[in-house]
Formats: sequence, structure tokens, C-alpha cells
Amino acid sequence: MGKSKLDKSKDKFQVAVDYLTEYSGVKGAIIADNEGIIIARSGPAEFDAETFAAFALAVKASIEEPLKEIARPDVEQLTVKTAQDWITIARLSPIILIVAAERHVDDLLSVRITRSLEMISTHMKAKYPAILSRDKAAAVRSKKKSEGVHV
Amino acid sequence: MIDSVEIKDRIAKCERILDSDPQSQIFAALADAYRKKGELQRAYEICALGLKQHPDYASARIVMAKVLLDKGNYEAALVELERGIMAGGRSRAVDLLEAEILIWQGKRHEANTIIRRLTSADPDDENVKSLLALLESEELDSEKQNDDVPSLENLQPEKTREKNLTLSRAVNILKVMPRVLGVLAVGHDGLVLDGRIEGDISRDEFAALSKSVHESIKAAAIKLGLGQGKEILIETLSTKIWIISMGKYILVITARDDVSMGALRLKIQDLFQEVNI
Repeated sequence: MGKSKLDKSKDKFQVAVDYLTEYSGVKGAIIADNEGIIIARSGPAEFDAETFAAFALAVKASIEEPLKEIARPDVEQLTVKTAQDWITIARLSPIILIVAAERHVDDLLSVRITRSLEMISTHMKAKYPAILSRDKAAAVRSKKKSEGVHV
Repeated sequence: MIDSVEIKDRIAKCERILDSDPQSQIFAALADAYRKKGELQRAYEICALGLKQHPDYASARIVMAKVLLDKGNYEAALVELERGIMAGGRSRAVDLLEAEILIWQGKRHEANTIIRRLTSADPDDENVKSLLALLESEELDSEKQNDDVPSLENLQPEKTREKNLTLSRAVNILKVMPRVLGVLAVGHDGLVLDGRIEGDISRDEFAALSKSVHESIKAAAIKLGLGQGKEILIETLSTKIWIISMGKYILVITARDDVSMGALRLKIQDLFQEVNI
């Protein structure tokens, strides 16, 4: 049984990111809000969570316009592979999950990311239903105005 | 690229018609729309139910054959296609579908006969060219696995062919893989080198926008010291867009969300290592 399961009092967001970093080759995982403020992070001390959160925001800001034309409906997940890293940015409005792994981690990491997103979603529904419904309403309003794309 | 809004509208329209008239033959269009959306099981159920009421509706038999092909059930797809031919006769679209099923079944000689007939009737048909590329690709794969399989008359030695693989041919082969909606090779100036794409958006526009997304992400990664972005995968509920840096150009692939990424990756590695541009 994993350490996180033993600790009942542990924040569920923290459980979700710890679950990801338990996987071999994962450098770190972050849950951030729409403005890049870090809500939970997991990884060794040298893992620079701020850099990856900034990257997610920069990507979001820079690709919204072009993606509006080619990716409808909204982007759910974005994966970037560099020479060293495999970075996944998953949107679960109003928060973002960012996972940084080594470039050659096996594809089963995707399954873990999906499970982690389910944990986050369950926790959001249970603890922050008002934020979720507000965000949904905003999304509907925004969709009516334009077909915006969010990463 | 399939426009998911358009598909949703089509599904809603067909469902309204079917609700008001359960005997309507619109079920075939509805099943085809679900197939394009990637909901294969739902497409199958709708089509099977409709065919119970309209067993001689040839178009529905063809849709069912396409659904079964997408599900990977080639034998059943061919049986269904034959029923469609019995009910409605042959057409160019039927021939194309039959050739594709035969290729995936490994019946390359039969497929080749049909493709040659189609080529002689219209040598410029892009669908036929794609099938031909798929056929040749499957022949190469088969040769690698089994030297006993007889090759076609015009088949060149494997090594020569791989060396001569052009970008255009590689793109065409990739394009006919199941659930792939478009493949573009885009130069560093954002202009299309080769490829084609389904849907309303023009390939030039798609290429330019993909290039723009690629550049933006690359710049953000470099700025933050994460190195150069080699691959970008964008996933929406219905579509995947995969942008891969290939050195002299970027490869942009758009596919349905249920595409097999593993199979696609293997094919890309196999094809594009030897491409001459």
C-alpha cells in the first residue's frame, strides 16, 4: 500500500500529485490555478515547479489564438516532448495539472495521469462545487461569445 | 479535419428525424456520423437496428461495412460490403472500400486488381493514390515479415524502394491509416511541402496555424530552459493533433481521438527515416 493511502488527513490534491511522482521517471507534478499559482506540488527539492507552471501559462497564452481555428472543441490535454522532458499540461477547469517526466518514460504514464485527473475531479466536486459551477457557467458564456480554446 | 461541431449538428438533426419517424432510413446517416465521431459501438448498434427494418438498404450496408472496418473486423466488413453490392450494385466508392478492406486483410493481389481498374479509369484520383500507397506499404511490411509471400510484378527490391521513398508517398501512406484525418509536411516558412487534410479548413491554413503553435511552444520551452520542443500532442475530446519536428520540416498529423498512437508512431518511424525530400 502506498504511503499516501495511509495518511487519511493528507490533502487530496497532494495525494493526486504524489501518486504521479511515485511513477518511475516522473520528475515532478504540480496543480496550479488559471493564473499559475501553485496549489500542490510533488517532487524532489531540485524540481523547479515555478518554471514548469510558468511554461504552462506561457504556452496557454501563446497558442490560444491559433488553436481556436484548428482544435475544436476545447483542448483537454497538451503534451510537449523536448530532448530531455515529457511535459503534460492537462486542463481541468479551473485548475491545471502539470506533469514533468523524463523524455523516455513509458506510455503507461498517460494512464496514471488520467487516474490522477479523476482524483482531482472527485475532490473538486466534493470540496469546491461552487467554484466548479461558476467556472462551468463562465465557460458556457465564453463559448457563446466565441469558441475560445484553453490549454 | 472533421469539424466536430458539424458532426454534432448532423447527429442532432438525424436523431430528431429518427425520433419523429423511427422507420426512417436516416439511421444510416446517423450511424455514419457516429462512426466519424469515433463512437464505433454506438454506430454499430444504430446501423444493426436499422438494418433489421431495412435489410435491403444498400447505403446502410456500406456504412456498416465502414464501421466494421474501423473496428478492425475485416472479414465481417467484407461480408457486409458484399450484401451492399447485392442490394445496390457496384460503384466507385464501393470499389474503393473493397480494395481498402482487402489490403487490411492481406489480400493484396485482389486489392491490386481493383486499384488498377480504378487507376485506369481516373489516374488522378487522390483516394486511389492513397490506397496504392497503402498497398505498397503493406507489401513492404509483409516482405519484411515473410519472404515467401509473392510480390507484385512491379515491386522493386526492398532496399531500393526504401531509399526512393518520397515525402509525398510517405505522407499518403500515413494518411490512409485508420482514423487519420490529415497529414501535412510543413516547411520552416509555414508552407505546405506535401499532404492533405479532410474537412472544411484548407491545408495551407492548417499548416500555417500548426507552424505557429509549434513556434510558440518551442519559444516558451527555450525561454524557460527546457530545451527545444521535439513533439507536441494536442488532445481535444474528439481530435488529436500531433506536431513532430523532423529537422527540415515539421510533420503535422490530425486524427480522431481513438487513433492508435502506438501504431502511428511505429509507422512514422518506419516511413520517415528513409524519406528523401
